[in-house]
Amino acid sequence: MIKGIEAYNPGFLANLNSIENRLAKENNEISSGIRVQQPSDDPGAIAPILDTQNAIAQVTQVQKNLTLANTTAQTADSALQNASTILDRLVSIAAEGANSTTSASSEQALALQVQNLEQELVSAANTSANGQYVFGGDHATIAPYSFNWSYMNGVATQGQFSLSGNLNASAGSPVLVSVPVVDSLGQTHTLQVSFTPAGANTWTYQVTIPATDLSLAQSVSYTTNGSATVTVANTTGISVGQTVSGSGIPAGTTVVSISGNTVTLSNNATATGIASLAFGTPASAPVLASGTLSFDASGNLSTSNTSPITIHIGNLADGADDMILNWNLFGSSGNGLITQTAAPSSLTPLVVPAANTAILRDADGNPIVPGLLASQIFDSQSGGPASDIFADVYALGQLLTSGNQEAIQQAALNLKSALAQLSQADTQYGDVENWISQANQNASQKLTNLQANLSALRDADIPSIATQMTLDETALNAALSAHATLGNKTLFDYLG
Amino acid sequence: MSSGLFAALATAANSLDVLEQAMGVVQNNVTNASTPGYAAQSLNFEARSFSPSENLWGGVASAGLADSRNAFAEEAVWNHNEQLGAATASATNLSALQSLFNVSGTSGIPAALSTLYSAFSAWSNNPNDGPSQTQVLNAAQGLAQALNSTANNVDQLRSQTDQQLQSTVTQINALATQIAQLNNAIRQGDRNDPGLQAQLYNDLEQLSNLMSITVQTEPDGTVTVMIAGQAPLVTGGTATTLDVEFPSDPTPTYPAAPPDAHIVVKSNGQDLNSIVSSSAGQIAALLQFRNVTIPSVIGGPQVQGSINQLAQSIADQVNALLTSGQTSSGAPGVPLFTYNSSLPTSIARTLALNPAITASQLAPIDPGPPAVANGIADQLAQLSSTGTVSGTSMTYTDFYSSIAQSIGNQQASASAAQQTESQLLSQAQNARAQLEGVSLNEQAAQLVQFQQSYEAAAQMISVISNTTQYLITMMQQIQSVA
Repeated sequence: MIKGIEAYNPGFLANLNSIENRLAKENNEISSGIRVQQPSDDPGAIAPILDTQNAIAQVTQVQKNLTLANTTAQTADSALQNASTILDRLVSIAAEGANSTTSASSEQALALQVQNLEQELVSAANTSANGQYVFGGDHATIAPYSFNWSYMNGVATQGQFSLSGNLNASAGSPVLVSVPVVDSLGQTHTLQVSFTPAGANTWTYQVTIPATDLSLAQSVSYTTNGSATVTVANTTGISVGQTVSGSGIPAGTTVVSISGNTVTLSNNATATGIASLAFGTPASAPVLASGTLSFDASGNLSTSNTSPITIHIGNLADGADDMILNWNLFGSSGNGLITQTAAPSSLTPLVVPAANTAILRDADGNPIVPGLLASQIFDSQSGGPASDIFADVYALGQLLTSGNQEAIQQAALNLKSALAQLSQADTQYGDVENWISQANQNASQKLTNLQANLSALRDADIPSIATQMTLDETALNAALSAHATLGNKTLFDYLG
Repeated sequence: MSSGLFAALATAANSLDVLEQAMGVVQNNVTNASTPGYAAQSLNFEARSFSPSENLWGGVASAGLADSRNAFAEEAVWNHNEQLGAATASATNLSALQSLFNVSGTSGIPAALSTLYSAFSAWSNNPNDGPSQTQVLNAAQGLAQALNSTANNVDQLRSQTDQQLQSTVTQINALATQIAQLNNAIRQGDRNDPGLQAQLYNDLEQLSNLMSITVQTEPDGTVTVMIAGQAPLVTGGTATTLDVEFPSDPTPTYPAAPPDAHIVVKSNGQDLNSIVSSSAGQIAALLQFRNVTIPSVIGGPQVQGSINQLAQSIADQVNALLTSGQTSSGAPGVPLFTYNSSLPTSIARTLALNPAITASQLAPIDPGPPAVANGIADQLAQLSSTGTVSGTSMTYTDFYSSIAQSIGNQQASASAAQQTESQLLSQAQNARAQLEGVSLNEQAAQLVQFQQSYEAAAQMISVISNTTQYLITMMQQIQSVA
């Protein structure tokens, strides 16, 4: 050890090291612009920084959500305006139809126009944005309506059901499940689903409707007037010998043969165009859908039919109320709908009515339900408006050829109140758009504040660091200079 | 008369011997001025009795070497060196640990959490949208990977710390063996040999950086070194060999977790952990880091580890929400995450996106009542503020922040302690240098002083020699006259 102020002096080196460490940290902060780069830089600031970062990410996402919701709301708004225009035209048609001078052929033409406009109205109600039906509510991937002039009010409504529970492979007999479904008039029908063991880990399933609750009606295209063959969408439930009725079909007509989707009738059709065929009650319940289910070793389900199945349902007891319900039987692979082994052998049907419950939140977490369900605007299902717009339009279509001018005038009045109903829905969407706009502004303001907070918490204060850095550099230079001026000679240098 | 002259001659000649020795000491001091552990020596002079009437002619004698070593100064250096060793090891390891915890929110676990919340939010806004569902799966996988990666990296630090412990123990053993050998040499040679003492104290100073030591100097000049004053490390010529072992915890709460590291006496297995871990030095800091800090993050025999708690809470709450929900086809939801629940201390490492889940199996519907079509997705999106880590009231992000904050605080304290102890050590070393160091100026002055004394004594011999010669010549003349 050398005594005195020599170069190796550990205190001097420690101080030098300390200044150099400070300079390195300051240099790093200035070059990165970030004050808190690692936990030890400011442990107390970590939670506020990360919370703020998190909040920024959330608000940014809320903005994206609002943009998407805004697109949907604007699309819905346009669709409603489009629907209003259609209703305006229908009111004009009604006025024309109510005119006593209108000829019978003109009335027919007007009736056809009404049909077309109802189809346009259905299209407006089925408007989609980003692949989702804007009035589809919670089941936004299923069209709210399908158009078919042959049925009550000319439309069918959406719905879905699924089954859950256990199938017991040892049961050995079919497992029957009754699924109640409700049509747009509030009438209940019953679907029957049966599962039959068909070997190890395999079942066959069938969807049927009790014969007493069934008539099958399909929209078919008459390609040639006078032909006995008609093309149907599908032949489910149609069997040889069934009676067939419908516009342009002579009474007593039956099904002679079925080949693919071509059905040969016992009499020639007497009209051309699109019309409805009603097939009589079959001897046994027709199979509307069928397939196999099989399970893997883990009990996961796979099925031969993973697409939604459209089932057409009517009601013979009330022939005027024939209609279509688009019911989707879901059964995609591995979704755990039905488990394989445990007793009891029963399945619980879950019928999900059309609903609109999805919520949208603003940046503060306040929720709204931004959309309206189609049935809240257009039809008279439970919870719907007083006026069933499709019923009004359908009624007009039917009345135009009746010559009942008083009734046509009443239909025109109904359509005007339907217009007011659309206007009210449009106003609601206007409110939603305003809410979204306000939420967007708040989100932007919040984002700005959060970014300012984050900057204050995390970013380097460049001017003060630069000043500190200059001070430290000066201190370093001073220390080195001072040390350099210290004598590096000892008395020995002067000896001898 | 003549006997007096001869006595003076002998005295002067003797003083030359003594001055030669003194200059030898100066030479040794100067050449060892930079030798680690060397303490300046000085030769004590002793005046001899002077009473001519009794034929005592005085002169100077060597009274042996004086050692400037100061036990208090040495102890002060060791104390601060122990603290510095501990602070440096802590600061270095905690620095490596904290680098695994991103605090800017741009990567790692916080960013992955944010991404997952955003994915849930986007999905809740569009529950049947395939890309939004896929985004949720990707974000979940991203979070699982972030947790896996952090846990694996912390675990890697555990292995590295094991190696550091082994290396430190090897250094301690080598130094203890050297000290024991020096004790033997001191016993066999001069107990005041400054060379041996320099080697000894240099070894002790190095040792003090590695562990807390208490040193007692024995009457025979050897030193007894105790570990933190409680267990012998070096006694005379015997050094205790230490080892690092990983015995299973006798009563583990989490048996599958890696056991703690233990410092033991190799010969008899005596466990020194309680002594070592409550003291200072590099090894104490390493033990603390290995047995307390790391397990607090990724688990040990007695703790589950904060990152595992975090991973489990996220997975459990997300899974519970999803399995309580329904898909749009009415199917019950399936879990988003899987982890090995039989290894509670490996949850962060085994967390994964459920390999069986498909995008369409994400269940957004809260069946209620009242049913909400995006209720589950919405609740998942709200987890950023409502999800708390089990047993705490902290959100996931806050809990993560608390882990990072704890490590950051420890690292900041260790760094501050490192800087302070570095200063204190240098002060202690300065203080010791003032007491024990070689001042070259002082040595040069002494050299001049001894040189002058030597020249004076030599001149005395010359004068006495002349006088004696004159006397002899005079005696010869008297004899020739007679």
